[in-house]
Amino acid sequence: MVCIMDEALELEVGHRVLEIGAGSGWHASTIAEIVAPAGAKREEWGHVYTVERVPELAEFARRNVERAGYGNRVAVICGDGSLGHLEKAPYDRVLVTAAAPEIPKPLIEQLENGGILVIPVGGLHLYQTLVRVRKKDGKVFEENLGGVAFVPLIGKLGFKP
Amino acid sequence: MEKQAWEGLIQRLIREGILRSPRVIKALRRVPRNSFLPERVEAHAAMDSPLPIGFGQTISAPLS
Repeated sequence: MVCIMDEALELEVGHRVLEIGAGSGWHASTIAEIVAPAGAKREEWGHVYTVERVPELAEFARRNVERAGYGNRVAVICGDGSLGHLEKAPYDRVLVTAAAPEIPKPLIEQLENGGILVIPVGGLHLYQTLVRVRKKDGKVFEENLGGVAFVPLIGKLGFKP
Repeated sequence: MEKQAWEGLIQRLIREGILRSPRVIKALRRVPRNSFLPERVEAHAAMDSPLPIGFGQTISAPLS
């Protein structure tokens, strides 16, 4: 899934990326390696903000990210990812690593014009579709990238805990 | 995890056309999954399946 999502996001050096669902921090680190590679100048670096609902996992992700050497390019935030992360918006790219019943509005609002959002949408463990959303001139274009199976997105605008 | 096992998985994903952009391929080479796993499942890092990381959550599979 990491491969499919990283390809679908059309990531470039300098992108500011929001990830919902940090988990282990692995996915966020692969993205940091693309948007802020060691070979590029620091002022050209993008940044990854990753939101995790479970405090213990946020801590686990933070430790992993630091140990892998991406602590200066990945910020792990503990909170309700279904609301996005307004403080650092807008983002060039947004990805959600859990399935939502529908696309939470704040995630589209926090997306930069010209930006891409990739999110699995569907029922609990069933009939989920990976959706790519492109925002152009304030309009939103959706594209179906195929069937997937993700853990549920829990939150105010996700599934109820 | 053996380095060859991770590289083997990457090669397979390239052959199958899933990994296409050089920058994503490079990122996966530089950030292998094993350093993000709890010790008890570390040996399975190059398996193309989600693995448990506690609290009912999983680390994503590279592909599926």
